[in-house]
Amino acid sequence: MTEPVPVVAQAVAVLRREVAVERAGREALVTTAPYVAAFVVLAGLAFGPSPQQLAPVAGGTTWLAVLGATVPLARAVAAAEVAEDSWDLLRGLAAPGALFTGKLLAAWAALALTWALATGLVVLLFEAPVPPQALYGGALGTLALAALTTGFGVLVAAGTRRRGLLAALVLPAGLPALLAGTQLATPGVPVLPWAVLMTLYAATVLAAVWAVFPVLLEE
Amino acid sequence: MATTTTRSRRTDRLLAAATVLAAGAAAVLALLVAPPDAVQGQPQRLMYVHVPAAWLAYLSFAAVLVASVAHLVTRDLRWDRRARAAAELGVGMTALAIALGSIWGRPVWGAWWVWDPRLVTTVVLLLVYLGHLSVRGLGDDPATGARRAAAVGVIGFVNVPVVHFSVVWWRTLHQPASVLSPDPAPMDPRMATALGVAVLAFTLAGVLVVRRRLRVLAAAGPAEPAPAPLPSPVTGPLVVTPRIRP
Amino acid sequence: MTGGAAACGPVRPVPPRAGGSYSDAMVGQPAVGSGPASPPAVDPAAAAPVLTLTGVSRAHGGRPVWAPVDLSLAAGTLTLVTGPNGAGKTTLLRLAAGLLRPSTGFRACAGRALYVRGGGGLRTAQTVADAVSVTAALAGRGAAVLPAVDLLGLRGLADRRVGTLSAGERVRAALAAAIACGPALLCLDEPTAALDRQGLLDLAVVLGVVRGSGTAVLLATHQPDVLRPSADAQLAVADGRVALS
Repeated sequence: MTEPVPVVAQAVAVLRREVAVERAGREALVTTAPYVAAFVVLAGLAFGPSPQQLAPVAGGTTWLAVLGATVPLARAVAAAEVAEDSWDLLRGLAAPGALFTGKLLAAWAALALTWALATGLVVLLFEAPVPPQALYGGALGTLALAALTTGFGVLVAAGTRRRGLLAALVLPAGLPALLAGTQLATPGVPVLPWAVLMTLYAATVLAAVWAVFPVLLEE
Repeated sequence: MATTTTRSRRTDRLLAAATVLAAGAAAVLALLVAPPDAVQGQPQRLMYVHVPAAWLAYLSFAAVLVASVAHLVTRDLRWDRRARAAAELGVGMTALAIALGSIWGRPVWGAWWVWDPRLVTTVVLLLVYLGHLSVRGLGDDPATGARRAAAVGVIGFVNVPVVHFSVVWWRTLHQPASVLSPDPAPMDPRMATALGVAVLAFTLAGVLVVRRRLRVLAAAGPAEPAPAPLPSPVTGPLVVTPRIRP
Repeated sequence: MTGGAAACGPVRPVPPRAGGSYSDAMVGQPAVGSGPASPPAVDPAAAAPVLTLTGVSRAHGGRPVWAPVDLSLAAGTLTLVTGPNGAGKTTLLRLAAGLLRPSTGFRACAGRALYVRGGGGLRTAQTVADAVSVTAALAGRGAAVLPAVDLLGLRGLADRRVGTLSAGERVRAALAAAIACGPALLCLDEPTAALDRQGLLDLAVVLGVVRGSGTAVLLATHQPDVLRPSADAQLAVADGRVALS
């Protein structure tokens, strides 16, 4: 009657559900795209206007924008589900591993989109080149931040107060992504140590959040 | 129960006496016996408080990790209280170490703050454990708060070494010499002794503070630790089977 | 897979039942409103317990909500849960669904347990058809979507967004999604508050079909009268205890 669903299939189903909800409501798109555009333009005004001043801060601007976007994007992980009363049914249906993977991949897609948008705007407005290693940093850094967003998003959404604590939890924990990502986006900086660090960071964060995620889901 | 409390109070008194002795000895050694630093002069004496504070902070955070993992495994609220008491001490000591370091840095480096890996890592530690203490206030249920705090304690702590290395590499790749790189000259034995006694005094004081805090937290929490024997249901078993209908 | 990360004891297998899967059971059933509520014909001997709570209680803020409960629900049963506000009906349902971790005792559930509060459960931006099908996909039961939509009489609302439905329609949409998942235990928290008398009669019909395929239903309500004739038991939650009434 209730044959178990393999975790991978269920993770795919959670991801498809996220994509369907996004297509229906365009939440992540309207959360990030205007925010990134405003952020980069304002950063240009704050640090510019000459290209000599803007080029060195291009990578940092991108990663600050991505790090800042984790806070509103974390709402899609659980807070929006709790607000619409759909969290209980989702928890009842999806195994913790599948729920984590599906939500992680959705958050990763949203953050990767944020990163790509910010990088594109920085290339255009700051006249900053993008070295190829920046792509590696972008992919892994947004994955690590997506793991933090997923974990802390569930943690904060299950509470009844102090929802603003999310930023205080995510931002310090995202420091290595900011540093390594910025260095990988800056031409002329040695690639290997930062690529190694970013890989190590992503692996550490993924493993830690994966390990505590079932505990975070408990009520 | 009564004998346990009596024994515990006696241990506290012994600890308090040892702390006072060690602190007195550390004060005499640090202020009178140890010579002023050849380069930095009198401000260097802040080291006898700054370093023990930082040591106690790191010791507390290691205790938080152990207690958090133990709580997640056993779900015993006593482990949560240990994690909480240690985190409170650690946050206080971290703030003290940062403040003293800043005061020490002003005359020595000419700046309240430098972008040194140890400083940045310590500030991140402070933020992580402030978060650890704050997540308890997300809801009202002590067991849920304990679980959340333990999860934050684990995620935060495993991240700290990566934070440290990022800032180390960030500094070394931009500016080869680190401001805080240790002096190659060996420390005067009188200085080393004063520092050692100060570290001992801080550790004893820390243990004492945590023990007293644990008693306060235990008194405020549930009377008995979680796994109590199962009382039998007052209503008897409720069994629902399909009704036979005409 | 049972719900969430809650503790779930040893799972007892439910013997395969005559009548096959949900979708089979639903095909050919009358649509909502087309017939009277008829209790399912279930052989009591074949009804294995779907949910077993042993000495289960839950503390909120250090105080137990009610005395420890031993509860066993057989497959295909409907159990009403009544009691005043704040007595702990929701706590009982969420514990049964595995969403809450028991403070004491053990929970064993043979299969998937779902909890639905009122008309909640679906994302409001989605259409009814999409919301039901993404939910059923989580249970790997895409084929059960259409029968469930038909059973709840939602064909005409399939393209409406969930957020634009009336409260009663949302209850039907939520039920369609939950039923499509083929749960072993369905915990419904106040589905009746938004329903008029006809809606309650329709609900009785739907529950009859659901129970016919083996699902045990635990339903908290302040309006038990219409459902009582077809219910197998009624649990009263009051004064810190749960009792059969």
